[in-house]
Amino acid sequence: MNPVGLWIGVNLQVKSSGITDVGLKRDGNEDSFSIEDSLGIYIVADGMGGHLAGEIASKISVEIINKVFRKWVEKDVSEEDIFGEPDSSLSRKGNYILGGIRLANRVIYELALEKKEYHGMGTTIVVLLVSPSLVIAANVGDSRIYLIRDGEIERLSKDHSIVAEQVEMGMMTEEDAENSPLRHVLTRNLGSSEEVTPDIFEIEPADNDCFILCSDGLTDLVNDQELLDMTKKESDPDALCKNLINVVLRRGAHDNATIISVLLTGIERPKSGIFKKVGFLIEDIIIRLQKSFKKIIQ
Amino acid sequence: MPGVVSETQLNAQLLDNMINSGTISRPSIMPYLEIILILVIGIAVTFFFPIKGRIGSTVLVSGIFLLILSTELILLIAMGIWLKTAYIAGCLVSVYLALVLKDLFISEVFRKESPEEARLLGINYQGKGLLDQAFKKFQRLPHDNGSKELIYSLGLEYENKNRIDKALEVYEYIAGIGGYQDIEERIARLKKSEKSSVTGSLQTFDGAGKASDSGDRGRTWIGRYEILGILGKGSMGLVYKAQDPKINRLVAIKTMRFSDEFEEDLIHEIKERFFREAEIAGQLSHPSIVTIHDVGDDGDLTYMAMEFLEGEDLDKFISKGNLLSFRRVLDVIFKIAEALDFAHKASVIHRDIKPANVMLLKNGNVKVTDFGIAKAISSSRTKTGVILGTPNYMSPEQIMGQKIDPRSDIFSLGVLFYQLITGELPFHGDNLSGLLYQITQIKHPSPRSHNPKIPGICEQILDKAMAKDPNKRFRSAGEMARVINALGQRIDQIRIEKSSIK
Repeated sequence: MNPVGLWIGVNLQVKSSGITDVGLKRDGNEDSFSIEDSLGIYIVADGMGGHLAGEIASKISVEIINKVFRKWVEKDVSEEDIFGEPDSSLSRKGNYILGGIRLANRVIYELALEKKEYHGMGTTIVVLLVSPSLVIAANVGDSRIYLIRDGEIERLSKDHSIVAEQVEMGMMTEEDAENSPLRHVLTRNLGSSEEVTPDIFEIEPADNDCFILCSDGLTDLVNDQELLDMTKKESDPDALCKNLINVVLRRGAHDNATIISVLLTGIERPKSGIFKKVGFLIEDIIIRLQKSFKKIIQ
Repeated sequence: MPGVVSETQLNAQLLDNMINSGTISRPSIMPYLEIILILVIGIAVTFFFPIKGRIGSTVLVSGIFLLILSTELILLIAMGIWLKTAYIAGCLVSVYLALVLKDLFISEVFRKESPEEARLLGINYQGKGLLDQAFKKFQRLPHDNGSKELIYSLGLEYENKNRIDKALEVYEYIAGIGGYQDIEERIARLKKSEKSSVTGSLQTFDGAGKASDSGDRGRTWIGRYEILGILGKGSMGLVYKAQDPKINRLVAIKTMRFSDEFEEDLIHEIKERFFREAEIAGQLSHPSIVTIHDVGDDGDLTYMAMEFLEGEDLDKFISKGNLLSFRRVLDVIFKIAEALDFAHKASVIHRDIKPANVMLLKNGNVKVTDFGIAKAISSSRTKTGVILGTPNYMSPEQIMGQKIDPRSDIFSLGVLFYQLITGELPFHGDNLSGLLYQITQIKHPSPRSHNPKIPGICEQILDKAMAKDPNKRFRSAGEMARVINALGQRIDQIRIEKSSIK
């Protein structure tokens, strides 16, 4: 167990809810999602590709990541024995997710290559893992993970789309990006190349953290501020998911929309304790040193 | 080097021989023997080194090396026979060095797949029906019972799917690595049944072959038009030469299969829009705009019947070495600009000016094709990740998703002009994102950096046409046409003056 886990209250309560809707303009739902409270892993995938291929790509990715993650956790497999080169800046579970995403990518890639009807298929993916000591957010593509904490909303995922990169480089405003004809063109997804690099982000959980995982069917129609406002109004995951999907449907729902909401409670961080603070500080310094050392080597 | 050493030895031996009145002989078989030895050692080390590991192979190499050297010495000193071993030793050392280098560098960069990774991939490939890929991965596993069980189950699955040849291959592989359960029986049984099923499988193969022929290639009619041949490939489908039987007129039929590019639920909407745009474009009657006769659909194919033109599109004339003469380019751009001006006045924006959409006819005329089609298509959402056509000729405002006006076509025409005179695109990028950045942010390099003969005035025209800010471009395509026409006439005038001086 991670040593940090011993220092904080482990009376973690997780409440989660998920919903998906085909929308008003589409015939099929290419989104997939999964909720595994026992493992604390939540996944949303938004598939693409003709006929049923998009649906299959998103299903496969969710299934594979869940399956190998469960297996690796049960056997407590070492980082070296999962899939691909481990990332030493990540925790063991972070590496499990990294390995799972890589594995799913390879399988979808080979399928798309091999079968004519699957040619060109791919999927986005967002994975959230919650545990008492650590929250891990991983993504490829333009599906998102939001964290709402202390009345503020933050994206834990990074959009891998052309317009997002342009916005990041300061070449396009957010407003232009929303209207660009290229706004749905991805720079990364599962299935388009043999290797994929997900963005993985690890943070410490806090009491009343609310996470929202979603496909672009939601974020095309509901902006960050509205998400925050709605979460403030109603943080219960079941109600929140229903409220959000209703907004999407009211606004035309041109695409499939999928939403998972996860609420963490029962994390009590001791407020005092100089030793603990020093402990956190030392750990933080060590982690930073490790990361900068790794950068220098690279 | 053994060669050098043996030479010294040889001198000593020669001297010794002279004193003892002995001789050194070199039997004629020796060169062949040497070649055979080189081959044998070369093959042996190539196959055995990788197995032995780095330390093992180093010991092995030095051992063989010493052996070769001492053989030469012993043969020479004891029997007076000269066997040239320098090449053999050289071959040995070079194979060794190559393998060590490969080990050091290549393996570090391309991390080898571990057996566990191969196993995971294999299981998941099999789970998704990718049996061949799974088999490839399973072959990399160590030959233990666990792997045999996996491979055995793969063989069973092949058998279930009636892919007897592959099942046999898999079972024979298992037999080759030590056998498993009833593997021998299965092989024997499959071999028998394989023989009896050959005829059956041949028939199915034949049937499948015929079925695939009924696609586009075998088509003879689209709508009411009789297909005579294929003219080329458009951005969304084939272009056919066809005949309208009603009035015996030759037409070019451009086909589009929207179902390949768009979500099914959007296709109807796009088709509607496509027909509407084609109708508007069809009303444009101008000598430099291709005439549209008819649009329609046939099954899942949407088509557009246009006047049949004999000529080539500008794609042929955009690379260095195939460029048109400068004067000819001015003429072509002038005519396109006039056509655009005419369309703009009728409120039609082309939106997709690029070499493939301009035809150069045998009689010297220019025809612009595909008016407005881009509008029908670009404003609809394609399947995520699908980009239609190339953004090379897009204007900054098109990329930014802003409102388009006729000045967007002027930018695209500027890009085309630039390419026709330099043989280079004004904007490059290593990837799409880089290209878009260039178009929206970076001024194009001077055309004179590619071709210093280009007149300065032409550079100014390009700067104006490809200004990032639409307000700084020509106010209309007509204005651009006039400037280019004036330049062309000025060049003609200078030529006449020059020839009259002569």
